[in-house]
Amino acid sequence: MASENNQDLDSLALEFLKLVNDIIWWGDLPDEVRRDKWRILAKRVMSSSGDDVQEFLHNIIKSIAGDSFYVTRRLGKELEEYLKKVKSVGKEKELIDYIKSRAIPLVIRLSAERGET
Amino acid sequence: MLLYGVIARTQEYFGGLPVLAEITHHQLIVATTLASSKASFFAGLLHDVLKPLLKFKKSAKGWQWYHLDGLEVGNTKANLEEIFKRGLSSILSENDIELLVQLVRQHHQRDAIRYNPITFAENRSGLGIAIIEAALFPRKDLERMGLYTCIEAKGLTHPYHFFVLTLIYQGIKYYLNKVYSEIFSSLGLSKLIVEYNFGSEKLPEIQYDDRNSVLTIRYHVPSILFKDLKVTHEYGSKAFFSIEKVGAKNIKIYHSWSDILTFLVPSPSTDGLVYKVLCVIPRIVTYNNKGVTIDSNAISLFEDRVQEIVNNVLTEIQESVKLDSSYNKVLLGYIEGIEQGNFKCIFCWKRTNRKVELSRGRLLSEKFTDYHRIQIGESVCPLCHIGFLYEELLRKQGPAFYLPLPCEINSIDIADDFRQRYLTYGTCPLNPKEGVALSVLGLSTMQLMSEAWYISLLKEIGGKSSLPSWVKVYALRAQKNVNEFYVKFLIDRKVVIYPLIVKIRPKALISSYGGRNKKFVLNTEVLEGHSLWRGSELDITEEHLDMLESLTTTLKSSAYKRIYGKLVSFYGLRE
Repeated sequence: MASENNQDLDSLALEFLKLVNDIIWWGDLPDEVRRDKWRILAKRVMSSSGDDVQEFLHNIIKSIAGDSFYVTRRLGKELEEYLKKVKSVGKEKELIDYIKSRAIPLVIRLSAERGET
Repeated sequence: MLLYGVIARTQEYFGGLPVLAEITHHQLIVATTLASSKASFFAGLLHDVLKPLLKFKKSAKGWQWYHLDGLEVGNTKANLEEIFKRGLSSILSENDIELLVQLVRQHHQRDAIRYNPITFAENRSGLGIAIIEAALFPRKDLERMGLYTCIEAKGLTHPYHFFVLTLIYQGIKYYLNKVYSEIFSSLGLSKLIVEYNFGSEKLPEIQYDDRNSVLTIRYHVPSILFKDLKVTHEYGSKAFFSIEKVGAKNIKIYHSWSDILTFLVPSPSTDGLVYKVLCVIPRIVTYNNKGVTIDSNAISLFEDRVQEIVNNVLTEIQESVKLDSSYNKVLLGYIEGIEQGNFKCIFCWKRTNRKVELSRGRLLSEKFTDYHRIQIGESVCPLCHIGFLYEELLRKQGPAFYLPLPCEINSIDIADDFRQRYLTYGTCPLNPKEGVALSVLGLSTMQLMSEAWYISLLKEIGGKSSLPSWVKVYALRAQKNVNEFYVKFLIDRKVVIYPLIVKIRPKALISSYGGRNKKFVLNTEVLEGHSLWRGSELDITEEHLDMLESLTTTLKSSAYKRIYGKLVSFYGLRE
């Protein structure tokens, strides 16, 4: 049973992956990457790192999309809000560990949420 | 969630701790001991036929579970005679039905132990076979309570030892099923079908098909929570436990007779903790006009059959790994804790007088890399030798092989709709707050629960000729072979023995995974902790499955196959 603490981390983790997924322009990437996008996303989340959440996010996106990503005004705002929220919770290291160690189930849940199972 | 059945009993002592005993299993165990006559056998099989209505009342004596004549069900009062006459007239004579009705009606009467075989079989002062449902270490002499000890294993100190013992247990189960089948068929029962229809309360229906010797019991279990769901158990000569014909609202679970009547349990002794393979002695209780007694002759006749079976199983094991026949006796000796000789086994350090060549060209092939698992020694003991060779054999057969072990209980709860019924009393007939009480039957039920979970992940593939017929080899289920039930159960690991809802941690001895290059019995402890199945990318853990649990309430049926596909691909389960 997830504790209250874990529930906080869980929703922050899912939100993090939503942002990563939205920032990457999957449509610009090669077919074979697009077809396998969820597995690639999970693997890259597991293998990436960062000193803080922003760097972690940047490294994941870069490892998948190189320079092929755009942050629209709406996404930029969402990202800013998100990073503020993470800072206010004050558990960045824990959040990064949580996301990395549970990347597969989180990505599966995100894909189900997006109706792309 | 696996809807499995209905509880057989509540625990009188220790504050109403639940025990994992299923009602059909309980009746079958009692019936087996009474299989000396048709009337008493069927009486045993049906004596608690009203229990699945779960009619509890609290009195000054505590909770009472009413399940005899006169029980109010809907607008009618239960009449056992009517139920049995309607269902059994094509198998039992009128006199036998009358006798059966009388035996069932009387089985809770004071002093019934003197004249009623059901009471005698169940009661501690008689045979007391029902003790195995509530206790793990019965204090009575096992044989005097109707349990035969097929094998007593002492001094098991290495995973290979337990691997070999579990293999032997599987073999004994397989052959004992034939013995039970033969006995039950001679009484007119080739197959038992039990349906649990969840929803509104109704009297049970019994039907006997005399052309095929099939008895069907249709229970109607009152439950709003599981309304319209149905689970069917089939017991018979089919040798293996399996879950098939899985629909959106119903599933069918196949059991062998010996899934219920054979046990592998720890047991305390003067030699420390030993492991025993036990089975229920059929026909041990005899009943006539003079009263009820234990039939010693039935014990000795059964003993001969069991000894023959044990020898067959040992021979088959030894032949499949191509060892010479002298290994049989030695193997049994080592299982029983006898060790002889001056060579030390490199795996377990037991002594042996057999010199097994260990060089890379011999036992330890060039592929052997687990040098951190061996100790200084000159040979291997017969138990480790067979365990090692068997593991190699199974690994080469691939892709997956496992022996289910009793699961662990992560949590136990009571269905909300059941609890609601007793709100006015302020307490409930069952108290799951402090977990579950272990018992002999509970342990084998927990083993079936583990097996059920692995069935949701693995599918049996065709047998290999080099293996005995009771050894099954598996492969990971293909996406086309899974459905909503398998994937949901794989993720949530919940089993319902109504009204108990149990969350399990499945356990097994796994000797090969995925491909053909991994072996794990020797490395058993790598699985301890929380890993449930290994993947080339990442192992599946309870923690990860817990994180997916929210999907089981939100996904459409059509999405489960794809979720399963993702699990297999992301974790690398097939490699």
